[in-house]
Parts: sequence; structure tokens; C-alpha cells
Amino acid sequence: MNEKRFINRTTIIRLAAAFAAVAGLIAFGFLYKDKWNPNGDADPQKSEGTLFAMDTYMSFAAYGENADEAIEEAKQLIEECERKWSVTDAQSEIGKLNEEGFLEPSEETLELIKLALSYSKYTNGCFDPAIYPLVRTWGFTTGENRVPPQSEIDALLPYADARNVILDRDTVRLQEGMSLDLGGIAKGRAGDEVLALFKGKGIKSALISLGGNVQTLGHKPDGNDWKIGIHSPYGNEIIAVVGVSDRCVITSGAYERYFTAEDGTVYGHIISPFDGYPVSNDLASVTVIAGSGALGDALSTALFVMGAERAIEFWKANEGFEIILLSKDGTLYVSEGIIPSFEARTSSAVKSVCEIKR
Amino acid sequence: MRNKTVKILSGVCALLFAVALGFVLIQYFSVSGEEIEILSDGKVIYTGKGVSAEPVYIDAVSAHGVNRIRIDANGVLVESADCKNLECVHMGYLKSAYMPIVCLPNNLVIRYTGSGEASAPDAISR
Amino acid sequence: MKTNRITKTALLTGIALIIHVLEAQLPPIVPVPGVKLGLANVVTLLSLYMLSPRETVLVVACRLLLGSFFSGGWSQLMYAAAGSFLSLCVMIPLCRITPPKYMFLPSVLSAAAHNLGQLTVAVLVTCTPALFMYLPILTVSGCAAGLFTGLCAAAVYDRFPKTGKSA
Repeated sequence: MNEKRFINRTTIIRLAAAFAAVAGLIAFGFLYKDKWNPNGDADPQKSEGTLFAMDTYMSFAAYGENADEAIEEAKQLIEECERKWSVTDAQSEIGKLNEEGFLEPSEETLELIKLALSYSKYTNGCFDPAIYPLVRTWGFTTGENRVPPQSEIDALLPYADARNVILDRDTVRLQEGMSLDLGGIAKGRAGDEVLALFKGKGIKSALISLGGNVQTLGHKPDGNDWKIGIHSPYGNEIIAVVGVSDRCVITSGAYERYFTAEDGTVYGHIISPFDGYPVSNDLASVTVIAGSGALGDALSTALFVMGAERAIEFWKANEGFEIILLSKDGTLYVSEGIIPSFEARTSSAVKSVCEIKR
Repeated sequence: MRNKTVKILSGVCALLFAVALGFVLIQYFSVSGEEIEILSDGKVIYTGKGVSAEPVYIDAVSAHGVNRIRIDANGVLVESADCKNLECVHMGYLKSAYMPIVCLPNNLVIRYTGSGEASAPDAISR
Repeated sequence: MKTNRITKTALLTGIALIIHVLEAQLPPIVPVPGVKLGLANVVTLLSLYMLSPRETVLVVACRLLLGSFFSGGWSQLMYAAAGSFLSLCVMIPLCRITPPKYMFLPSVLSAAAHNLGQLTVAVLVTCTPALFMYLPILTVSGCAAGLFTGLCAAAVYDRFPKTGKSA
């Protein structure tokens, strides 16, 4: 009698089994929700740290078991870099080089100098580590800013030429009157070394900011890109946000370190190796997104010196980095490669967004 | 005719269920940002971060009742309410980007803004 | 015969009411508003197959009104009414063309419709279209609940003496 009915024992059992199967699947999904994301680790240990070094505020965030230890070591690493490379420290390797004109540098310093020289060549001299005599005379490292007389600038300009640095096997020699300042690349390089340190400690996600130079390792723990905002040169606004992983986002401009002369002219700290004056062109800020902090650091300076047109040409002629340029007329130039992860923000600085393609 | 009707109906049911289930899975596994907004009686009474190191309390007073909302290090939730079924309290912390916390009797909605996009950057390059 | 039908209608209404009030006492299993078993719909389905659509509407309407009266949810009435209205719109035509053996099929769809109706009212009342984000989960739970109640109704119908509409 049971079998004739539609809803009999068999169907009920079958339905119960099906229900249990679905419920089991959902429960399974719940339990392993965090593993669902192949890149993600639901709540890995986050470690944070801050440091004041290289004349600026630095912050670190790393995720993983060894994160605490890694950050402590990173701080020491940065302090070590500063000891070696600081241009205002007569005891640093660079200080000694500038004083004596000759140096047998440590391995890391030699690497850095070689890198700086190669970037100088790469950017046709727009990035030039030999710029120090001019930087010094404008008072940017001494803190006593002044507008030097034209004659002084004319006299110092020939020394600001990285091509005259002599690399002989493992030694560096400077010609009389020359001095090097690796400030335009040191932070980026230090950042790279910190991330290499993190990687060596098994850390897969990290975000560091060295005085506004943002460098990332891997993705965020939840698998998404790090969202890096770009600050406006004018007010307390964000002009855009980019999503990156394993990339640095470095911005250069004349708005963080500058001085105003008696006649009201504002002079920024990035000095052109070509005319000896702080850069004053159509650009308000340059942001470079690259795989290495040293490259990003050097390029952001170089592109700022180049001005919008030449910077765009440079990007078109080269590969391995993306750029976001904010011109003084409010145009935001965004290079093709970063467009997919680029988000404009409403700000008073940006009037229009222009995509640059090769 | 009967068999065909049954088949069609079964198909529609199964399809509906599958599609809805699909959406549920998408919603559940979507990542959300940190900015939230709280609406009481249709008016936005709070927009801001959905997490806070120090607990922040917000009392949403509507024409029908009051909900006490807490924002702490783990997120935002309704701590207590004077509605009958207390479903809003049982919902716990606001999780998915797509499903807001609601208290229907008190006309309260707590949700992430920008549905899914983190609007506050992790760091700022300057 | 008319007395017979009135009696049956009243009986079903009573049963539906009891089920409704009892279910309202249960604590919600899932903290999502609108997720419930809707067991009273077993009666609604049965009445569609045992009585006529008109009588079914009566059963549902009385159940809603009296149910709100007994379990004190006057504000809930608004939502329940919208949900039931949509549910019946789906259930009545579908049940007409579905054999009683398969009554769980219209039940699934009408339960989903019920939730859609309730959600729509909620959106209108709170002026937050964002609430529609609940539609997927409510549809899923609606389908499941509808299946369950439909199967229960089919099981009950099965065990009734097959006298159909006559005494």
C-alpha cells in the first residue's frame, strides 16, 4: 500500500538524502570559506612598525608568521642604508666620497652607484646623481635656502654631470668639484632591500611607505590588489587610486620640499641638471608605478624634469613602468598599462583624464 | 499534456533555484570595503568607516523605535534594539558587501557604500 | 452542498490560523528577515485542490487578518498581504494545470513569489532599493521552504479519501 502513493518512504528518504547533501555542501563551503581564495589567508598575523629615517617618516605593514621579526630587521636595514648613503653625513660612504673624491664602496653602495649611473644614462641625464653641488648651493640639504646668483649656477653646472664619474673595477672616483647625492634613488633602493628581506623571511604580503614612497609585496592578504592613493600637490585630497601588487607607487613634485623667495617665486627641491634651477614646467606631479623602487624613485624625478611632453614620449619609447602625470592645467595623463586598475577621484586638482597609449 | 506541464514547471523551479543560489554564492564570497552608511527612516544618519579601534556607539532613533549600533574593531553591528523580532541584532556584524543589516520595524538599514569597492586606500603616495 | 463547502473553508481557515500562530512563536533560525517555513501554506495548497480558488482566497485572507490579530503583528500584515497576494497570483493558475501529485512545483514558485512580494514592500517602505540584494537568499530559502510545504501538502492530500469536491 505504501508503494502506490507518490510521497512514500522511498521518496522521503531520497529527498532527505538530497537535502543532506546540499546542506553538507553549504556547510563545507562555510567552513572552508577562507581557503576559497587561493591567494588569501583569512586572518594572518599583521605586523606594523614605524621609523623616522632618511629625514622622513616611514611605516611598515607585513603579514605572516615572521612579520614582527622582519619589520625589526627592516628598520635596522634602513638605518644601515642611511649610515652608508646619507649625503649630509660626512662619515657615510657617500660623505667620504664627496669629501675625498675617491671611494672603495661596500657592495651595496657600489651597486647603488652603478644603478644611479645607469638610470642617468637611461633618462639622458634627466636623473643625475651628480646634482649635489647645485642642491647644496640652493640650500636644500643645509636647510638654508637661497637663490644663488647666476654666475654661481653657471660655475657649478658643469660639475653636475654623472658621465664624469669614473668607475674603475670596484672603486669610484670623482673629478674635482663633483659630488654625488643619491637621495633621488636611495629611498627606493632601501625599499627594495626591505622587500627582499621580507621575501626571504617568507612574507607574502607587505606594504611599506618610506616618506610617501609606497612599495608593495604581493597582494593584500585577502587576494585583492593594494589600493594606493595619489596625493594632490595642492590640498589634502586624493586625485586617484591605483590597485597594485608587487609594484611601487612613487610620486615626485615640488610641493613637499620647497621654499619661497623674497620675490614670491616658489622653488621646489628637484633641480634640473640642465639649467641648474629648480624644475618649473607644466607638471605639478609625476607618479611612477614600477617593479623596483629604485627605478620608480629615479624615474619620477627624471620625468618631472622632462615635463609632460617629453615624459610621455619617454614612456612610449620604453617599457617596464607606468606613469600618471598631473599637469598644472588640470590634465591627468594615465598610461595604458595602469588604466585597468586606475580609479579617478573627484578633486579640485584634476579637470580631465587623458589616457596615453603607445 | 500533464507530463509536459510537470516537466516545464520542474525545469523552471530548478532554474530559479540554481540562479538564486548562484547569486547567493557570489554575494557571500564578495569582499567588501570599509566605508559604511547608516540610514534611519530613509535618511543617512552616518557615513564613515565601518571599523574603529575604540568602540563607537550610535543610536538610530526612528519614528518606530531605537536601535543601538556599535562600531568596533571587528566591524559594525546592532547591539540592541526595541523591535519585536530582534533579527537585526541576530544578524551580527555586517559582512557581505551586498546584504545590509536591516531592522524593518524601525526602518533601519546599515550597509557598505560603493558596494564592494574599498574607497579608502591602503596607503597614499606623495 | 454549500454548507459543506463553508464548513470545509472554515475548518481549513482554522487549521491555517493555528499553524500560522504556532509558527510565529518559533525563534527565527536564520537572522535574515523573511526566511521562514510558511507552513500555513500547506493549507493554502490543499484548499486549492479541495476547494475552489475563490474559497482559497477567503482562507488566506481570513488567516492573515486573524493571524495578525492573534500574534499582534499589524505592521507585519502589510508585508504578509503583499507576499500572499503575489503568491496566490502564481499559485492559482499553476495549480489549475498541475496534477495534485506534483503540487510541490507550484508551491516552490509561489513561495519564491511570496518572498519577492514581501521584499518589494520592504524596499518601498524603507526607500532602500539596496534591500533587493536580499532577493537571491530569499529566493533560495523560498524555493526550499516551498518544496517542503508542497511535499507536506501532497502527502496530506494523498491520504485524504478521494471524494474530491463532493461530500
